[in-house]
Amino acid sequence: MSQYILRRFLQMVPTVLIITVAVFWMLKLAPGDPLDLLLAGNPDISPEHVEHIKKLYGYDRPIYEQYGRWLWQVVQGNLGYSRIYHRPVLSIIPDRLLNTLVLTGSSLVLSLLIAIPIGVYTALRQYSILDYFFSFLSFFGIAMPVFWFGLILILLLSVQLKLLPPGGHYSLEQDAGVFTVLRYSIMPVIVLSLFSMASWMRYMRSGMLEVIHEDYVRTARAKGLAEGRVVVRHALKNALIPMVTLIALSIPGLISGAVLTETIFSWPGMGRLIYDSLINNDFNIAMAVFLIFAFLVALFNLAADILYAFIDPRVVYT
Amino acid sequence: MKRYAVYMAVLIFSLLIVGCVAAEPAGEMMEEEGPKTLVVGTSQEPENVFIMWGSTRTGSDVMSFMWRKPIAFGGDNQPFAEILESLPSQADGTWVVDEEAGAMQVTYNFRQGLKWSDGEEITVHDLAMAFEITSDPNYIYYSESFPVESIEIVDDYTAILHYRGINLFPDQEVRTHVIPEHVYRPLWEEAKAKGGNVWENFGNIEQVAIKPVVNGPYMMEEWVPGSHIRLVRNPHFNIGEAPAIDEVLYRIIPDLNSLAVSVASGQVHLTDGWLSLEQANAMDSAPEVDPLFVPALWLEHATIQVNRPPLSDKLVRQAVLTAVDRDAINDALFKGQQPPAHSWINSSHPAYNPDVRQYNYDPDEALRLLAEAGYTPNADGQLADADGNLLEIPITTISGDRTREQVAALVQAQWQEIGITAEVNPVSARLLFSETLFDPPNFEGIAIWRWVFNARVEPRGFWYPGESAAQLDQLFAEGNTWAENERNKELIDMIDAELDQDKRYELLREQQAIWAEELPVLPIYWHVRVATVNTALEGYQPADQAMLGWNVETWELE
Repeated sequence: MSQYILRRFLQMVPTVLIITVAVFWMLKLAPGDPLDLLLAGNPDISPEHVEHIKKLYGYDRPIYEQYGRWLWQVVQGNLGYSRIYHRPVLSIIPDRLLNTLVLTGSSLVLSLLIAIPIGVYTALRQYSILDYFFSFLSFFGIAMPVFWFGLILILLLSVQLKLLPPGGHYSLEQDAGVFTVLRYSIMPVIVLSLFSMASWMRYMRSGMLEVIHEDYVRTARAKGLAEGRVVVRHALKNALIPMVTLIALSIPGLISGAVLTETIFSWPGMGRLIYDSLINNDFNIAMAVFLIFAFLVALFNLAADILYAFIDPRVVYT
Repeated sequence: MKRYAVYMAVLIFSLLIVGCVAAEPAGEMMEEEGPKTLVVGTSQEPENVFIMWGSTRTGSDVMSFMWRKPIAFGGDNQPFAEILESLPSQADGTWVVDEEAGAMQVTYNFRQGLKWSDGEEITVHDLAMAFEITSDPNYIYYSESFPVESIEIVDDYTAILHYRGINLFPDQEVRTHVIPEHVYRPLWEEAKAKGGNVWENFGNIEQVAIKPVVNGPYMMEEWVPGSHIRLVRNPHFNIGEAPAIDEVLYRIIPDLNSLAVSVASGQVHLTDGWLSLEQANAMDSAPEVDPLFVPALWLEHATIQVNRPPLSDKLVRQAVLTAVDRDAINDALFKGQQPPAHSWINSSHPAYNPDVRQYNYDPDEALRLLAEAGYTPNADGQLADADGNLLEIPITTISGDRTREQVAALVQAQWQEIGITAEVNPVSARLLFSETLFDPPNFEGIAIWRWVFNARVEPRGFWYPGESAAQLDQLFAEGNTWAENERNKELIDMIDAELDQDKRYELLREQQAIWAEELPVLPIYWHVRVATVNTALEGYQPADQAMLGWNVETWELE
C-alpha cells in the first residue's frame, strides 16, 4: 500500500506540471494583457510608453520564457504579487480558502446530514407519501437555479422579514461571535446545499434500493438480525461505496468555491477570487489558484482510491 | 425514543435560528449604539488607494474620503482651492502668462498648519515629491505631455509651477497631488535602488497601495479583499471640519442585484454610479431610499470604422443616425432620463452649440440620404449599391451589459426596418478594448460604448485626426472627409491657444458644427449617473466633476 501511495505521489508531479503549462498557455491565449485596460483608460499615455511598461512587466517576452520565470519563482516558494490586490499571493489565498471552507464545509456537512438519512428512509419506504414528498423536494433542488433561489431568499428573509443580513461576510462586524458567523452563513449555506442535498438524496435512495434486495441482506434478515442492524451494517455500508466516490470528487469543487453563491452573497471565497483574477488578468493569482486546484484534485482522487480499500475488502493495492 | 430525538433536533435547530436572529436583527444593524458607520456599496474592488495611482472608479471614490488635493471640484461642478489658499488667477498675479515667450508660471500658496495623518505638516515639498514621481518614466501614468515642466520651491508654503507653454486650465488642474515626502521619499529611493520594475517595487509596498499616510478626513483601518474596506477618522485632519460620521464602511458587493437588495433593505446607505436606471426606478417600494439622477458628461456613442466603406461616406453616417429613433430608445429604456446627444458637448455646458445639425428620427430622410450615397433597395427590400453589395453594418457591443445589448438590439431593429443589414456582435469588454477597437483591420461597422468627458471640453485628445493620443486615433486615418477637414484642425489649434473663455467657447461652437456635420462617431445619448441615498444620510451632494466624498466632513447620519 505504501509503495502504491508513493508511486501515485510521484505521478502527481508531472500531472500538475502539465496542467500548469496548459493553464498558462490558455491564459495567454485570452485577448489583451493585464495592462491593456489600465492603459486604455489613460488618454495621455503614448504608445512608446505603453511598450516601455509592457517591457518592464515582461509581457513582451515569449510565452515559454514567461512560464519559465513563473515556474522558477514557484520553485523558490514565491507565488508573486497580485496585480489587483498589491499583496503577495500567498497572503491572500489562506483567508479566501478559510472563508470557502467555512461555507462549503458547512454545506457539505448539512447536505450529508440531510441527504443520507432521507435517502435511506425513502428507499426503505418506497412509494410512500413521504417518498413522493422528498422526491418532489429533490427535483425542486436540482432544478432551481442558484442565483434565483438566492435572490428570492434574500428578498424574503432580509428585505421583507428583516431577519438576516442580505449578504456579506461576518468579518464586517468587528466582534464577530458564533451567532454572527451563523447569521451571515445561514442563507449562503442553504443555497449552496440545495443542489448537492437534492442530488445526493437521489443517489442515496437508488443506492439503497439496489442493495436492499441483495441476497446478503435477505440472509442477514433470515439470521434474525434486528432491522436497524440489517440496514446500517449490511445495506448502508454497501450503498455508501458509490457515495464515497461522489463525495471525494466533490471536495476539490468545495475548495474551488461556488462562484454564483459567493457572488450573490458577497462572500469573499475562492470562487470569486478565481473569477476576479481571470476578469482582471491577474495572472499570478490565477496561476496560484489553478496550481492548488490541480494538486487537490490529484490528491483527493488518490484519497478516494485509498478509501475504497477500507470500505470494500475486495479492493487491494499492491 | 426516536420521536424524542426528532423533537430535540427540531428544538435545537429552532433555538439556533432564533439565537442568530435575536443576536442582531438585520434591520437594526446600522442603528445600534456604537460608532456611527456610513455603509457605502460598490460592485468593484479598488486596485489600490494611493492618490497618484487610482485606475478604477471605486478606487477614486474611496480615495475621495482619504485624500485632499491642492485644487478640487465641488458640488456646483466648479473648482475650489482645497490645500491652496486660493485658486491661481491672473488677477492676483498667481497665474502669469508670457504670450510672446509662450511661457507660463503659476504660484501655489499652501495653507499653513495643515497635517498629514501621522501628524506631520503638509508643505510644498510634498507637492514636489509627487511631481518628482510624476516626471519619472517609471511612473505608471508618466506622460510627456503633462503640462508642468518643473516646480521651484520658494519656501515651505510657496512653490512656482513652470508650465510647458501656455495652458488654459491651471485653475482646474486636478492632476497635481501632494504625498508626504517624509514617508515616500525613502520608499521611492528604495524601490529605485532595487532596479527592475521600479513602479512595481514601489506599488507593492503596503504603505503605498493599501495603508498610505493621508491628508483626508478618513484613513484606512482595514481592507479585507473581496469583502470590505473600513475607514476611520483621521485624528489629525484639519483641512476641513472634523467629520461627524465615525467610520465609512465600503462594502464590495459584486452582483448588482444583490447590491440593489442591500440598498432596499437599508443595509447600504449610499451607492453612486453602480445601479442601473431600472434598478433605481424600482426603489419606489423602499420609502427610505432616494434615487438621484446626476447629469454626467458621459457620452454613449458608436465608434465607427470611418476608414472603409460604407461608413467612410459621410452621407451614410448621417443616414444611419437619422434612421435611429433615439427618443424612442430613451422612452423605452430610460423613462426619458437619458436624452439623445446632438454634439460631443453636453447641452448643459456653456460651450454647447444648440444650432448644430440634429439627426431626428426620419426613415424617409435616411433612405433619401442613402440613395444619394448610392444605396437603393433591391428585390428583397434590402439596401444595396449598384454592384449589388448589401449595405452591411455590424454592431459590436459589450456582452453582459444589459442596457447596451438592449440599445444595440433596438438600433439593429430600426436599421433593418429600412433595409440595412445589421448583425449584433456582443464581445467582452476585455476583447473590445484590447483588440476590436485597437485593431482597425479587424474592426467593421460600429461599436457602442461610452466616453467620459470633463468640463474643460478639450477637443484635441478626441477630435484631432492624426494627433490624438488615444489609440482610437488609428480610425481617423487619412482618406476620409473627417480626417481631411482642415478647418476642424485649425479650430482645435486655436481653441488650444485661446485664453479668453468666451472666445474659446465661440470656437468650440464652430468646431461642434463641423463635428455634427461630419459625424466621426454616432452620438447616441447622454448618461445620467445613478445614486441611491438612504434618508438617514444628509449632506451628500453629488456632481459630475466632484469626487464622491468631496464634502464628507459635512455629512450627517441619523
